[in-house]
Amino acid sequence: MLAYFRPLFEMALLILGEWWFQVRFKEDRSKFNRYIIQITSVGREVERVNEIINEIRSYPMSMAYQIWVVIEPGYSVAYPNADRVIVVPREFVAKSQYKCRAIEYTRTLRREIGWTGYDTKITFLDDDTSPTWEFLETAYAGDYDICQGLTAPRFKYGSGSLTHFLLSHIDDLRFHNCMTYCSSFQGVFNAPLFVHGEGLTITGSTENQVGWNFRIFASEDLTFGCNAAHQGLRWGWFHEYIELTSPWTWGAYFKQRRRWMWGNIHAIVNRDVLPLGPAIRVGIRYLLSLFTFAGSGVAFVLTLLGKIHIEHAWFSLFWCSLAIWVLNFGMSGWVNAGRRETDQTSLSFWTSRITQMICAVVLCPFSASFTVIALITTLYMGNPRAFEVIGKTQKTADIEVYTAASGMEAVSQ
Amino acid sequence: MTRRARSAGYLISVAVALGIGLICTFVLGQSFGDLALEKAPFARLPYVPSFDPVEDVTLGLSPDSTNAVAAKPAAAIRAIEIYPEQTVMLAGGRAIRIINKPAPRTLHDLVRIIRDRHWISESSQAVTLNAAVIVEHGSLMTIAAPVTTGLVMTVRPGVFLAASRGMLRITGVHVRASDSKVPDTLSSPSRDIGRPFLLADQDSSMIIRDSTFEYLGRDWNSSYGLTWSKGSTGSVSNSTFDRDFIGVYSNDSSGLQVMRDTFYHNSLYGVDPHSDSSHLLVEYNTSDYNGRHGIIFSDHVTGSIVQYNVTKGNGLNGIMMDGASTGNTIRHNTIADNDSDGVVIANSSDNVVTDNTVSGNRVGITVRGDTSGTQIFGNKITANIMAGEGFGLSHNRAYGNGGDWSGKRIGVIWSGTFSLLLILLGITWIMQQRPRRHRG
Repeated sequence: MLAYFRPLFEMALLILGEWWFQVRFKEDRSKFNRYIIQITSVGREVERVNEIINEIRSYPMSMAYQIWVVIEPGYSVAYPNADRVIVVPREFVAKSQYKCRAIEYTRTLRREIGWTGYDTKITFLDDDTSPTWEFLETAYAGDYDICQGLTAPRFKYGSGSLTHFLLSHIDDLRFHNCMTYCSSFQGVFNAPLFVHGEGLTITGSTENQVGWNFRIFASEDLTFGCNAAHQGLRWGWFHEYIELTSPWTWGAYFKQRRRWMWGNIHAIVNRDVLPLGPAIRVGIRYLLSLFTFAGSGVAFVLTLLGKIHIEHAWFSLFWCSLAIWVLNFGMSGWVNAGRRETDQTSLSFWTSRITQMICAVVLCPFSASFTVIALITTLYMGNPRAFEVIGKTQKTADIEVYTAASGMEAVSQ
Repeated sequence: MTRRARSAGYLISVAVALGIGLICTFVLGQSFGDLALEKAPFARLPYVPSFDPVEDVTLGLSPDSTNAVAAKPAAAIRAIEIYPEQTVMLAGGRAIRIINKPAPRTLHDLVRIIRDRHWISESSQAVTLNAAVIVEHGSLMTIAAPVTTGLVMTVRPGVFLAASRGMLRITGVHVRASDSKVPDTLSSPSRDIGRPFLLADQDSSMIIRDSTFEYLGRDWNSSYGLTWSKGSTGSVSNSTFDRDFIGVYSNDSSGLQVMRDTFYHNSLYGVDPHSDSSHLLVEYNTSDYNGRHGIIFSDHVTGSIVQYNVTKGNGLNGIMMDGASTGNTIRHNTIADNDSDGVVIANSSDNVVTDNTVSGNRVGITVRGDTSGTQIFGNKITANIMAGEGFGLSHNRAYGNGGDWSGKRIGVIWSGTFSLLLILLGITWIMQQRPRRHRG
């Protein structure tokens, strides 16, 4: 029964988070006078990163800002519209590895120039994420030590190959999880369950206090966010979109999920990475996911076999719960298909949006099941012990997936 | 800069209140409060594996012998075995007398050759059994009016009437136990071991017409009332079963016909075809006021027809198909006023339920478990607390059932919803007025 009620419970969280944002989210631009938008990348996605930079440059931004691009040595530094292109030196030593190490390096740069106060805002982007103008404005103005917006796999959502179409819809749950758990656990309870690096926005003082020097190879976002909350810093969540791309191949999908899974496990089991409270919280979230899948599956079979007989009122409530679950997927499809390309006609846009929404609903049993299958599969695949990077565009997805082999390399998620 | 409209929080509050109101209306807006059964419906002692009664009595074993606990033969356990060419009197499993005469054709004849009132006696046209009588191996016994109009079976361990690979014909006889007690479903079998019954066992034939059966049976293997078992067949028609444990029971029986009978006040079921019975015809019967179901097929009862029966006022369901009872047709029955459901199809596929009149039950027709291929159409479903559960009501005429939307309930729900809306709007207003924390 508990498993069946989860959609209702999640809907309550979602509404609470959204309501809290609408009623209580604080913005105070007067407290900030410096804004850094930092794109951290291995360096392979030059074209995509330049696209993101140009996109941001096209926005009528209301504040002074700088775009920093952080890459590994040995890659092109051709980012003509970036304010700074930072190559992480090979000799830079930190406890953290890969992407986290790169961010830690940029922290030292900011410290050297004294940008460590509350008046400095930093938004971290990946090389596959497009923030909307509204996102950047709200992130800058948010009067919080740390905040983030709403992730949605809107970039090339459901387009291209069948594989990318399916993987986009599997990612419907990412939007749903962010809308449900990030909005409430970050925005309301100040106790994050998920943290995503895409669009994570912090102040200079927060960065200086928490730092990025953790003994981790992945999940730097979760680690940073949970430690910030644990140290009493204030979390905020806002409903503006950071648009990302779903993986383009099944291999890339499993590599990405494996990295997340084992990065999170590493964080959960190591007290020098995650404090006990957040570790328990995040651990329970994983167990709950498995329980919901197993519990509802078993109950479904037992009901079919007539082993459990449910009273009508409960049965009606389960129908409501199921309807809400399906509605959630429909909402994900609707929002995720909401990015309008510049050359897209109205007819094409709305046709695509309605089609993708219907697909999200039709595919919801597959999407939900596959997420759990991926969870179990990545557990079985074992710890990668490295930050495996996947191609972020259709073009780079065809190139062999890159695995960072050296702790000296900074890579992006 | 704040781009958010202050009205958004209020709009969310309105949406939440509306959502909760709708869900509550959907879940609680129909009146199902009376659907709960007032008594625990399925309480029954566990099944105890045991020999069949014919084996027990011919071995001289007490009727409560089980596979786990072997009882010792007792002289008090007595049986009369009727073979084509001899009749054997057994006590404690030992033959104490063998009568080498052709098998008596009637109970009247049997009394005359036994000539021992401690075993069997006759007064006027009524015969009293004090021992089991078993018609064996091709023998035929007819018990019929006007020669015999009454049969009393003494309540004592090992007394019953059976055919084992034999033939039994009963016509126009009033059959009853010597007292008027009937075990209920929680009676201890050891306390009720003396309850007499009738049994057709091992490919026997038992044909009954125009008779009455009262106070028979108990909750024990093949001892329920009238039983056709292990390949036995026959028919029962124009007869009455009143206050037996189960009226008619069968297992592994094919072609049994139950027609124009009445089943009243039996402790458990009226008609209970059971494990692997098939091709039965149950028609024009009345099965009312039994403790549980009027008619129940359970455990792979297949290919049978249940038609033109009336089942009313039973403690549970009117007609039930249970435990993979498949390929049966339930049609033209009248099922009314049962404490639980009218027709129940549970874990049984490919049944057809059609042209029945189902009224005044808790739920008219219930379908649950694996019921693939089941067709329910053309039924008139009316005045039940709830018309149906677990299937679509289309192709049936359902009207005047409970479970319709209750205006009173919906009124209460939306009054509560309006109050909730006011509270949410108030909280939203307060939260928006409250000064926000600022960094010190």
